Amino acid sequence: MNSTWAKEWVDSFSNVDKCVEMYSDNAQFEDTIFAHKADGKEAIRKFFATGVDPAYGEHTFGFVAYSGNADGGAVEWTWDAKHAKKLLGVPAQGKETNTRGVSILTFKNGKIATQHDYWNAAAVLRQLGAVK
Amino acid sequence: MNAAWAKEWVESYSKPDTLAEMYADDAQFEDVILPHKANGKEAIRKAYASGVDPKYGEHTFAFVSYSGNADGGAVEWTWDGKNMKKLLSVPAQGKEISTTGVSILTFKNGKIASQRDFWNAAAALRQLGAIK
Repeated sequence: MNSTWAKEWVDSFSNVDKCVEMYSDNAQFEDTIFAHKADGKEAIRKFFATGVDPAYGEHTFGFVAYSGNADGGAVEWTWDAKHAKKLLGVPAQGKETNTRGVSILTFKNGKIATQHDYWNAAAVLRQLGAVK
Repeated sequence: MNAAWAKEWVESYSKPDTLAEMYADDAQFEDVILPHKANGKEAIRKAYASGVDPKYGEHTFAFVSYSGNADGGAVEWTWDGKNMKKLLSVPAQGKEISTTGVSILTFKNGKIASQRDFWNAAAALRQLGAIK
């Protein structure tokens, strides 16, 4: 894909129905940091739905860059969070974190086929006071 | 680039002189997690030279996949490290870590123009006992 597509995708993280339509039916998602996998559009919907559920706090993502083409590439983004639960087993309730991450995507027929996410857990854990 | 190129690149991490030749003279490198920036081929060579210096431990990287094209993309890899003194300011002596990461690359005239690395710090910190 390209930067225009990637910006629209990141902007749609807050609009779960729109976001999910950008995935193929059997898309495979993995957040490597959370060690969370979701297979298929419906499981992916559930994961993104937590991002807009107040029970999980407030989460804002911003598009940074796209490197790649229509077959695959890397979308970089920022993640600003106000947490309502623990994060990575660390108390985070009421705390804010700001970090950067990347989604490695492959595409089939114009839809996301696979997604692997990485984000800066070291920065987040530092902001939460779990590491120095 | 492509998977064959990316595999050769990851395998060159242990040969900083060979590796450095794959970068443009004014290439920009960032390990987002450490965090560490290196501007220019010589600074990048030094960053990788520390990876083969026994005083910084023993490190093995292996190629996993490439998503992208000749302009830019994402190289995923695994990292096994041992005998480090500290990692992310956490004592690591006598411990081993095994994690995954990604390098987002852009290219100019067949050389790496920019590189940003993300890796799974949560897994590494869990293996070091810094978080649960």
